[in-house]
Order: sequence, then C-alpha cells, then structure tokens
Amino acid sequence: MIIRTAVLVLTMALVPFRLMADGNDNPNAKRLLQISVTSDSKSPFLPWQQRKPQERFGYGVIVRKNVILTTETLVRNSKLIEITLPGSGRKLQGRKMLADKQTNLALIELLDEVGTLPETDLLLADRLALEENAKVIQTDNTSAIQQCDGTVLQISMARVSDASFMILTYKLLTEPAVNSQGAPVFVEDKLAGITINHQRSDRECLMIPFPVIKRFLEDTKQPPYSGFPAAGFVWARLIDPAKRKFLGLPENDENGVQVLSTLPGSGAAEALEVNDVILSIDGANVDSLGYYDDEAFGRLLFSYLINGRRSAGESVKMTVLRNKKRQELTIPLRPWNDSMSLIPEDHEAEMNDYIVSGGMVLRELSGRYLKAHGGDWERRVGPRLAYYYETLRMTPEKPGDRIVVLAGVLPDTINIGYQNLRNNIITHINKKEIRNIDDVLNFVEESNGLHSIRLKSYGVDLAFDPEKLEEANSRILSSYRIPAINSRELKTMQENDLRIRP
Amino acid sequence: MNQARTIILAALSLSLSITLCSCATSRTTAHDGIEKARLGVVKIHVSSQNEDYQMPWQSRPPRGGSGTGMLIEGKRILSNAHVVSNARFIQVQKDGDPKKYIAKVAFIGHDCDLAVLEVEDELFFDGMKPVSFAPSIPSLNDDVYVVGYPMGGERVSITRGVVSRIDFDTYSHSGLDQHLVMQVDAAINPGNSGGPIFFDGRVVGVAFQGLRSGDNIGYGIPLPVIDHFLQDISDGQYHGYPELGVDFIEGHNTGLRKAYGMDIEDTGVIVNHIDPFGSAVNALLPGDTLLSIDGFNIENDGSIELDGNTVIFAELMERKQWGEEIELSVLRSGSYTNMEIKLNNPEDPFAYRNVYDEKPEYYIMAGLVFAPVNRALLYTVQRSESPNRSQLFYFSSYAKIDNLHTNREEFVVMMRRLPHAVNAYADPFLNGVVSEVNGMHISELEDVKKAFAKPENGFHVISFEGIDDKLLMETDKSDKADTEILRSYGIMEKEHFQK
Repeated sequence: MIIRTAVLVLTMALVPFRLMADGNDNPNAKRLLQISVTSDSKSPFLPWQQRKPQERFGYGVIVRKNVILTTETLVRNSKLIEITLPGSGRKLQGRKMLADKQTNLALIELLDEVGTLPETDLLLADRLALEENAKVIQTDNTSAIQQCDGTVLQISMARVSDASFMILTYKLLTEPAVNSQGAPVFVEDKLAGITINHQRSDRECLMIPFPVIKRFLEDTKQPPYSGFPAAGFVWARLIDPAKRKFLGLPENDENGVQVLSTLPGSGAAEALEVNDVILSIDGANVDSLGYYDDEAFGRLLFSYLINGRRSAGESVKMTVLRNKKRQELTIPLRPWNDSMSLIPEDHEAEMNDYIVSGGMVLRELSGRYLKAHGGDWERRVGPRLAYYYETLRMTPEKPGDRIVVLAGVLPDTINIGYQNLRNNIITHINKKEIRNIDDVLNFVEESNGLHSIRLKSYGVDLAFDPEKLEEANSRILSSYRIPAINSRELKTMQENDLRIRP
Repeated sequence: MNQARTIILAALSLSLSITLCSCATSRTTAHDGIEKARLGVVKIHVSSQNEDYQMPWQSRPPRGGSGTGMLIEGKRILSNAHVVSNARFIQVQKDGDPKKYIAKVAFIGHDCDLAVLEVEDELFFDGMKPVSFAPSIPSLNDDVYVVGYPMGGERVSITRGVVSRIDFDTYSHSGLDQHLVMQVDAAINPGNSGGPIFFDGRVVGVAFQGLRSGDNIGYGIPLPVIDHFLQDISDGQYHGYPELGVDFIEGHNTGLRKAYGMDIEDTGVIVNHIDPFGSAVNALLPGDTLLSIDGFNIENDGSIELDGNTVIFAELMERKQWGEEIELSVLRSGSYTNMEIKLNNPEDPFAYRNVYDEKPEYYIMAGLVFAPVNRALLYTVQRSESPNRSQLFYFSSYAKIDNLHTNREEFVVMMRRLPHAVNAYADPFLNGVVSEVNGMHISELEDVKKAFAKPENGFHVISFEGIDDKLLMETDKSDKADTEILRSYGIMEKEHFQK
C-alpha cells in the first residue's frame, strides 16, 4: 500500500501542466481589437441632467472588412469609441452601427483605414458541444495577445444583461481567466462565440455562441434589423401532480408546461389561452420543467425552439392541451422589445421624455428610474410603485400605455403645498386622462400649459395659478438651470445646436 | 418609518434633591408633594402571555413583568395598557407593604395606552391616598419628577427633569395612533410605565415610552389624553377616539385656491381623500374646503388657535368623544355651508394596529394556514425575503386609497404552510392575498372555510391577488391530509373565528 501511494504521487507530479499557448500561433489573433468606450447617461430623476461620463474597456473581433463584432453592454450610450490594435498605442475611431440588447451583440464600423487588418469575412464555427475545447483570445496587461484554453461547461438558455427574454448561451471554464467582455472564442480557425460576462476571481465566463452570432449577422445584412422574435407568453412548470391532473394530463406522463398569461399585442395573445398546456413545439416534446432534447445542444429550455430556430415573421407550431383536448396551434412570432412594456426597463439611459412645469417633474416610470433609488428601492418608492413594477410591468392594457409619475418637485412659490408628493402616479393633466408622457406633452401644447395635475386616488386637481405659471416656469428654468421645459424642446435645441451659446 | 420606540415597564419617582437655584420654599413644597405622591403609587406585577401570530393556534410562553400604577379617585388604579395587555394574572403592591393584592383590568384603551385596574380587597386601600391631577398641562422647562418602580432595584424610585417638548407622536403600543405626548428628560426606564409624572405635587402625565436611540428622551401621556380616557369610560365602556377620516392639502397654493373658489380672505384646507371608515364619509366630499371647525378658524396649514396656542387641527379631535358632533364650515362648489358631523366611525379592519387580548383568527386546511392580515404578519414579512411581499404591502397599505377594500371585510392571507406531501408546491404562494377559493370570492376568513366545503370537480382551487398561477389540491387527498397534518403538528384547533 505504501509503495502504491508513493507511485501515485510521483506520477501526478510528472504530468506537464501547460497553461497557455502563445496567442500569436492563432491566425485569427490579428482579428482581435481592444476597444475603449466613453459613455454618458442622463439622470433618471432630472432627465435633462447629465451624469458623469464613464469609460469602459473590452474586446472586439473583426468579422468582415472594417466591421467589428462586440457586446452591446460595451457600446451602450457610447459617445466615443476608440479602438487599439494589441501591442500598438494608436487609437482608431469607431462608430456604433447596431446594438441588440436581446443578444448583447453589437457591430462597430472602423472609420480609420489600417492596411494591416484582415479584410476577409471571419468564418463561424458550426459545432461546439459540451466538454469540448475552444480558445479564447485576449490581451494581458502588457497588451500582448494571450490565448486561454476553454472548456464548455454548460449550454443553456439564459437572460443576458438586460434582455427581455432568454437566449442560447455557453458557459466556459477557462485558464487563465477571461479578463473582459467581447473576447472572441475560436474553435480551430472559426469563431465560436464572444464572451459577455466574466469574473476575475472566477474562471467561468458566459459566451454568446455562434448560432446566435450567425443569425445576428445575417439579420444585419438586410436592414432594418428585425431582431430575435418572441411568442409573448408567461408560463409555469407543471410539476405539481394535482395541477397536472386538474389540467387533464395523463398520470405517468411528464410532458407539458402551463400558459399563465399572454402579453398584449403578441402572437401568443392571438393563439394561446390561459391554462393551455404546451406539449410540444415544432415536433419537439417539452417536459414538465420546460426542457426538450436538442440535437446539437442537448437538454435545453423550449424557448430556443422559438427564438433560436425561428425569426420574426415566422411562426411555430404547438401541440397544446386545452380543456383536456389536444389541439394544434400556429403561433406567429414577432419582435418584442422593452418599449412595448407598461414599465420598460429603459437600460438605454438616454434622455427620458419629461416636462417640468410649475416645478413638477413628470416622466414615465421605468425599471431604471425605480432602481436608481438604491438597493432598497422597493421601500423608498413605496408599495404601490413596487407592486406595479413587479406584477404589471409587461402588460399594458392597451399598447402604448405607460405610467406617468411625479419624479420630483423643484420647490417654488407656484407649488407650495405640493412639494411632498414625489413618486405619485399621475392620472390626469388639465382634467384629461393621460396614458403616457406623449399625452402629457400633447395636452400641454394644446392648452398652452400644464394647468393642473391629478394624482392617482386623489380627489382634487392640483392646480397652478394661471396668472403666475409662465413667470414661475421661466424662473424655475433659470434658477434650477434647466435647459428646456420639456424633452421635445430640448431635442429641437440640440438639433439646432442652440444649446451651445457663444 | 418605524422609530425605535421602546415601551417601558417601569415608573419614575420623585427627585430628592433640587437644583441650587431653587429657593427653600419650593424645596419644602417638593418634599411634601413627594410624600403625598408616594402614597398613591403602586407596583404592578404582571404575568402575561402574548399570542403567537406565526403559529396562531398557540400562545407564546408566559412571562413576568412589572410596571407602575397610581391610585385615582374611585378606588381605581391608572396605568398603561401595555403594562396589563395580554395579562393572565395581575397583582399590585404598595411601597413598603410585603402583601400583593390581586387586581383586574376594568377598562383598557389600546389606542391611548391607558388602563384602569380594580382591586377587590378593601385592605389594599388602607393608608393610600389617590393622586390628584393638575388643572392644566405644564409649560416647557417646568420641573417634573417621575415616580415608579423601574429596573435597577426593588423599591420606589424617583427621577427628575423638565418638560422638554409637547408634541404629537405615535403611541407605539398600538403602533398606529398618534396623540399628544409630553417629552421629559427625567430618566424613564423599563418598569416606569404607568407611573405618574408630577409637577408641583400633582400628576401631569403617565410615563409610557422612551426612544431607544436617544439620550434622556422619555415620553409621558399628558393630561388631555388621560382626561379623554377617564371621561370615555365614565359610561362604563371604552369607545376610543373617533376619527374624522379626512386627508387634505394645505390651502396655501394660489392656483389651488382659485381652482376651488376660495376667496382671498378665506383660510382653510382642501379635502383630497375621505377615509371610507371615517366619520366624514357620507358628509364631506373631495374638493371641499374646510374653513372652520367648531367655530375655530382653520388656517391654511390646517392649524387652529386653541386656548391661545396654535395647534394642528387633529388636536381638537383629541378632545372629542365617540358620539359627539363637530360643526364644520365648508366651501363646496362655490357656496358656503355649515354641517354637523357625528363622530362614530365603525371599526376599521384595514387599519393595522397591534392587537391585544384577542386570540388570533386562523383557519387551517390541508396544512395551509389562512389568517386575516394583521400588523404582526406585516412586520414578520417586512423583515424577511418572503415571496409576494409586493402584493401584500400594496394591498395592506393602499386598501382604502386605491379602493382595494371594496367588497371585502378584511384581507385574508395564506400565511404559512405546515409541510406535507399534499401541499408540497404551495410555497410560491405564501403571503399571497387570497382572492378566490373554488370560484368563491373571499371577503373574510370565514369565506375560506365555506369555500373549501364546495370544491370544484374534485379539486380545491385557490387564487391570489396579483399572481397568475393558482394553487391546486385534490379534494380527497387534501381532506385526508387535513386531520393527519393537524395531528402530526400537534394542533388541537383547526380554526379560530372571532365571531
């Protein structure tokens, strides 16, 4: 026994452990670029107000002549995109062509001519299975190209960054760890994906894989970009035997998920009903947890059958159990984006539409606005807004409905008595019911000013002295240094460069 | 905004020394007062047992505590409600007397944290002298002393200080009601509760709560609240404070004044919401301008001048008894009217006060525990990461504002699961506000029981507010599991209803 152990130890010690190869071995190393992005965002509370610009770093990969693929989160709100060749200090200018939050992919156009860069199209991989290996290319802290060995740990549907729905992702285990987003992953000479999430302390990173990139790139070739589709329903797993029996599913069967609700305006709203049990999609059986067996990727959530296999404008066929009877349905697929929600997430951090009149700052409710209240935002904004966000967020009664809130009150004599009403929902202005901030801006334009507002469940209209309103508005704009009374005016000013005063 | 208010089971006693600047005569007066005062102050020993709102079928372990009380006219002892709440056994003891006498709660006002006790044994009153009340509340900076039996010793104790502030504040015993409070910087410690605060030998307040995070901040219930309580019980029943139930906007804003037709000389406030459980419910309307109340002119900020002081309008309500009327002068749609409103609002099931001396209501079905929303439940959920918090908080906080209470006697919540195979998938529904059971609308807890008796096609179907998914159980399995679960968790009573 003692001898055996000793041998074992010796054997282990003899295994050579090679961490990485020299990155320059890979012919695609030339396609790697370092990208630095300066971004700015607007304050959610005072929408005209700029926040401090921020700088972010990441990678991109040249996919065709002068076109770089990178992540959406890297180029979000970019004001300036600078591109550096590894090992070179020279900064090249880039321009955002397109960015998609659903896939977290973006394209940048290289504006400067550089003779040495590859001009051919990058080939995409056509397979990478679980436990197979790939190479991630990045740079180290001396800006030298570094190649990491990666192994596929998991293939799953996941919601990346701020996407509305899940898409196909790969989880890689790499050595050394991936140090930034947008790093290309290769299988042989072909692009297998780009990294999106990484943690320096952790060797795991998430990657957007080639099937998603392929569809993204194809879609971009035929503008306008239509995006990944969604069916538009909320579902639940069907693991409770009582519920399965209630819905009429056979006892020893483990198929099917339950439709809980459909989103207004979606294809699902036309075809699916609440309590439908989805048994199969396009011929693939969906189990009670929502998984099916994919030929290429193994056990995968059924949503891949929708947004991974189909494009907007196409449809999927579903077998459902409705009122205990099997039915074949066709669900049209449409693009879904955040702006169709009652309360959009609004990750863009662009200027939100607003009006500030009588010192009252009105804007639409968004996820970004709520979360800007801090980690305990639910407590700070109060139970009503928290409830609206958590339960009604995705479902406007009519398309285009939003929630208008009083985001703040800039104290002035005109709004004495109204100064503590922040974060209330506004239902009427000028005694007319409003559905969104556009209504507010239109009604104000029609009747020459914001004369009154009504808060949800308030029995009175908060009126502003008509004789003093105009004077108060110009006083508030100048004393609080607000460039324009509403977002429309501000946009016009910006377009005409009126803002830059000599 | 839950302030860290502690309730104090103790009383203060007289200050034995007096500041150097005090003259000799005041020293004598003080000592006389103290001697008189001691004869009217008693220690209250209480064994109490609180209810367990997390497991409502049982009470929590009994515990002992002590507080202070004072003998008042009519051989009654006045103390705090929180000293004798949920009491199982009460004894009172005089200073220097080894004997403890059994006492009983005669009246208790949880909204004003006051209680009156009675002692059957006449011997108890031997040598005692009731305290006398001052004719009016003291002024700021008046010297006061607190007599009682606080922690730190067995015998009577006295601390002294001045009146720091007279204010309006929340009484933490109910957690919801606001009344006048008298803040003093005399030490008020656990055990002082229910004891008298003296000024010039006469009682001006009852020591009752402190501020955990502050220094030398103790609170007493001042005379007007004590008077209100004693007057209220004089007909043999405690009714509590009536509520007008009106939310208003201050009348400063010129735009608002014009919109609601207020004349330039008019002052008042504009009603924006009427509490459906308040006294004003069928009298006032949103948009009414309240100009005066009982002849007192209402200022634009809602204040009135009362006894030479500018006080908030609610302070007048502090003097009102159940069944009394108030007279309002109102500007409605351009015309001035006077109206009388009778103050006798119904009990409000959507105001979540702390509840005492009542067995919690609950109903258990197949290990699912249903109960009306109550303050204890909200407090528990607030401190945990439990599911469906947002629904529960929205419904409980906005019940009357967003009219969520319509067609409901109370909100019923599935507050707990007693794990068993039959309810294995119920956790995602915990703390959900029940909207329907088996197709029947749930207006109060008893409806849950009624609805479970009428399953649909062999299933129990439970729906919750703001949750798309439904909870399902097979009737035969859940009915069978029902007694099994009660037995295995040692629960003797499947339900408790108040009515």
